[in-house]
Amino acid sequence: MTALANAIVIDNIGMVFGAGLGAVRALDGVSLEIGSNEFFTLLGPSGCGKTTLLRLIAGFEQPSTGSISLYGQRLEGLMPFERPVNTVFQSYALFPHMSVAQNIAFGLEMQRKPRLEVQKIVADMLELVQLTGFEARKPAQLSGGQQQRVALARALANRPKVLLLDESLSALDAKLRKEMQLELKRLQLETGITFVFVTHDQEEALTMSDRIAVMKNGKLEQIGTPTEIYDFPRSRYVADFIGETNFLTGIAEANGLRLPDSQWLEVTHSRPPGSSVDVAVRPERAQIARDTNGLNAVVREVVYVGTDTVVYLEIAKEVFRVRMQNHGGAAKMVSVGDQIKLVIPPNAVRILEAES
Amino acid sequence: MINPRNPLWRYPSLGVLMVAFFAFLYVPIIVLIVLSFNQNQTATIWTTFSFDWYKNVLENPNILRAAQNSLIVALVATVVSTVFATMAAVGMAGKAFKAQNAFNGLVGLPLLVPEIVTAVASLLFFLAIGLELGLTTVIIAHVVFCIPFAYLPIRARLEGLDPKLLEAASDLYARPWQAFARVTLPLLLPGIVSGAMLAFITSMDDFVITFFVAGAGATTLPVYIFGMIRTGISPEVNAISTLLFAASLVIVMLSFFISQKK
Repeated sequence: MTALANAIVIDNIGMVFGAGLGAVRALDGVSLEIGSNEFFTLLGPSGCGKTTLLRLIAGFEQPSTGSISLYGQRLEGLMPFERPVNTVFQSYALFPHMSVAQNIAFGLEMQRKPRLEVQKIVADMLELVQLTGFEARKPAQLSGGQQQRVALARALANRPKVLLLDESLSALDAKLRKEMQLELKRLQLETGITFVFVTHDQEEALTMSDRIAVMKNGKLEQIGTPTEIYDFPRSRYVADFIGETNFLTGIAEANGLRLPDSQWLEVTHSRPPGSSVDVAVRPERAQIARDTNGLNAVVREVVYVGTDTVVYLEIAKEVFRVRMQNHGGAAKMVSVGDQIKLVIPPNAVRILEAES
Repeated sequence: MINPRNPLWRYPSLGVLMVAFFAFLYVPIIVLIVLSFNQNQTATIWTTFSFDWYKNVLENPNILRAAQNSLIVALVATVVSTVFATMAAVGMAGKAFKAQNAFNGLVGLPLLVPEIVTAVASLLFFLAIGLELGLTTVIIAHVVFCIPFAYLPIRARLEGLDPKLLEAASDLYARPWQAFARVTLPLLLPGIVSGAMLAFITSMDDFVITFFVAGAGATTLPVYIFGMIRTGISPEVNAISTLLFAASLVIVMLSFFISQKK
């Protein structure tokens, strides 16, 4: 991504709500760049500042410090109606007294677009979100998924430079959410608009995003593509938040770690000998074997989950999960109480940064 | 929710009380309506059915003048107080300050202040600033005491309004006044209508304050009725009262249907 293609540049944003002892620091020195036509996701638990950041871009709040630029234009002091961005709200915020068509036309009418053009765009948008024929309905007469699509159409109708989506799928049931994830991705590719998506759902983030920013306590924890975030989590926090992860802690020696029960885990690292090191291993990257070199472990539980079987092992007094596909039949050979060998390939071990 | 089938919520004597309540409330009004169609000069002895008293009322220029005054006062007071109440409610909604509850209390307090106190205070105030008593003083007094009646339903409606809707309007390029006209006002309308109806009925109905601040030419219908009663109960009073009751009923029903529509 070249510097010129940045849609949004967020520079050292800080946000404090309230004052004095009751002050809450919602954002603390956040800097990031979002590329043009990118599907960018802000991911984190509630209270991490992701929604605040989105609201700052939309203009509903003004930052305490720092600045935000949109294609080179500084946004400070601009009201929401002066910014070429549009928002899809978590609760959709459709105007209940207006029909679907009136909702979609609202932004265009406020911009004083000619009537014929408005009608054409509304028709196009209804087609885009597959709601043609629903124009006269009121929001209350639509299902949650349909309301969601109207909210999308209402925002996209204005051809914003950036579309902001605030937990926009969280009110839908699981099946509809999966459908809308693919739908959103399709819309983003079709319209070529930059999407900034806020969610606490890691799976949603991995499915749709070009890049993900993982946030924690008002700070950025890690930015990267879904693969980078999943395969190379920087910290225990990221590894834990994204997908399932096993953690092991050991004392650094040359070419490996000494686990608390004196077993040896081979891994390349650059930590000084004697320091304590946390590592993460994805459950699907480890294997269970017998009669081979590996770590000694005991099977504590075997859980069948359809496509996979998850085996809970005990090693160095910690629980370690191994996920095996049922397809090969390998899972059938372990049962509770077995002494087995746990094989962790060195490239499956991710060295985590020391917690600050 | 209380389950109506729950025997713990049955109190046998309440049924009798309820019948008594409705009897006390409505029998006098029914008697009044029936007697308004009575031909006899003595208001309380029934002879035959007639519209005579209605004819008398509608031909009496003093009563018509009083009715006209009442309507003028009520219409002006309703419009002005509803506009003020809407502005106050909308203005308050955008603020989050500690004294907000105190403000709401102050707006609503006149509902609790004994009417006679407001009446005396208004009279003294008009005398102090040297305003001559007449229709103007009645209208000013009515505007003031109608504001809390109009304010309460509007504020209740406003509290049910999703603040995200205003953010959405602003996000969709609506300037504050456009967002007000296109989103806030249409959604508040049922509250504004019921506030206005309430103000209108309260104004039409008012006697105490009007009696104090009305000058010679500014007699309203309730004040006129009071004047007629002092010289004995005439069947005309029954007829006017019935008309007033019918008008109130129509307004209440209109207000109910309008608030049901949205």
